[in-house]
Amino acid sequence: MNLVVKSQDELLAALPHVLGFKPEESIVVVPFGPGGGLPVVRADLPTSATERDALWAELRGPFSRHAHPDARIGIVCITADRHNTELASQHMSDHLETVEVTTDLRLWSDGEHWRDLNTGATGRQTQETVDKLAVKTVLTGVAQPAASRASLAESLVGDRQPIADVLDTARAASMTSTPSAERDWALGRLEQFHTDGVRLCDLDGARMLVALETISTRDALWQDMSTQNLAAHAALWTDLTRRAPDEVRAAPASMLGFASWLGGNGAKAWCALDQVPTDQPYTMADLVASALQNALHPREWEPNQTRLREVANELDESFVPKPPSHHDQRDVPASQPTDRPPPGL
Amino acid sequence: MSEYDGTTGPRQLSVTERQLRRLVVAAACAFHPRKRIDVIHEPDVVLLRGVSE
Repeated sequence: MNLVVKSQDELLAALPHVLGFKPEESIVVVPFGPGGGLPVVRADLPTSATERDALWAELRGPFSRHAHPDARIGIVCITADRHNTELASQHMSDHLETVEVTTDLRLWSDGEHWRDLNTGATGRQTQETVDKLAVKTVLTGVAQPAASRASLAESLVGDRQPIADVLDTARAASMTSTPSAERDWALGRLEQFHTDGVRLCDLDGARMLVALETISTRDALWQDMSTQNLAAHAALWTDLTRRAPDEVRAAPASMLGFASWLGGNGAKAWCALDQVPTDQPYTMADLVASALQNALHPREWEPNQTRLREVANELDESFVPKPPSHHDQRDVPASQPTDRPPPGL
Repeated sequence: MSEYDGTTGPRQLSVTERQLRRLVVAAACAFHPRKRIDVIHEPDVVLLRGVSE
């Protein structure tokens, strides 16, 4: 066995930092060895043959696409259910072999103890190792993991009343302006946030959220996003997702979903998409969800973005604001839809 | 907020949306939490390699 990790204990301690939260009742596939290419993948632990097959059906594509010759992985199951761990990890290992991915390790942990299912070796998860990892990540400036996936999701819910209180004011002001003026303001405000990182006041937050209702404005801000300024975008959209009332939250939550995906963080991206109200169809959210579902690698975005900028520079109606009657450009329904339609993908 | 302007039915995808859609393999997109898969691209391999030398 050619493990890259120093010990099973360390691998288990590292997982929350890699995922952004402490996994529970989960199966996690971890790439080993140099070269990279394969992502870390976490899913709820399948508990039946049907669920195991369904999980593999979801993972076959991503692993086939991302695997390189001699790809090696470890499978970690975090649960008290050792029986399901045996079944799920063996099923996953067998199927990964069919796409030429070798499983070096099958590890079971109940949160306190671990067992190597291939060798029978056992051990305890030690607080010392957990602390050592925490110190290391603090020193590198990495955010500490959430206590659970649920708490990661809860971190995106803040006090939404203050912006709700000024939303009508912001909306009334925008009606006296033009879409292009609001887009210019939004881009300028984004630029300011890039520079100073200062949280938007309630009125600016409301104005930004109203501006995002115009798709060309949202797209202009979306197009600003790159791997170079991702931290600022993630901070801005996290804050506005936390503070936005239902009627204006789809856009910032989708922007955060995209930013999280672009940063490689699929878990946070899903949590962001959860903040899109379920009764409000929103195409961008569906597209980001599909990218997540297909484990699309973020590096595939940048070349497209470059091409898009070239096209946009030539001419595209989405970047040329139409004259007044700008209400027509907003995504305001004639009647409220009652259900989220299946993504049109 | 929704994506209908009340006069022309469902709006077309924006340019940026189309750009992302081109990258996405067509597939059923599940919002059900049980079907969600968290994918972490470019993980911190230093962490995965352990802290002790």
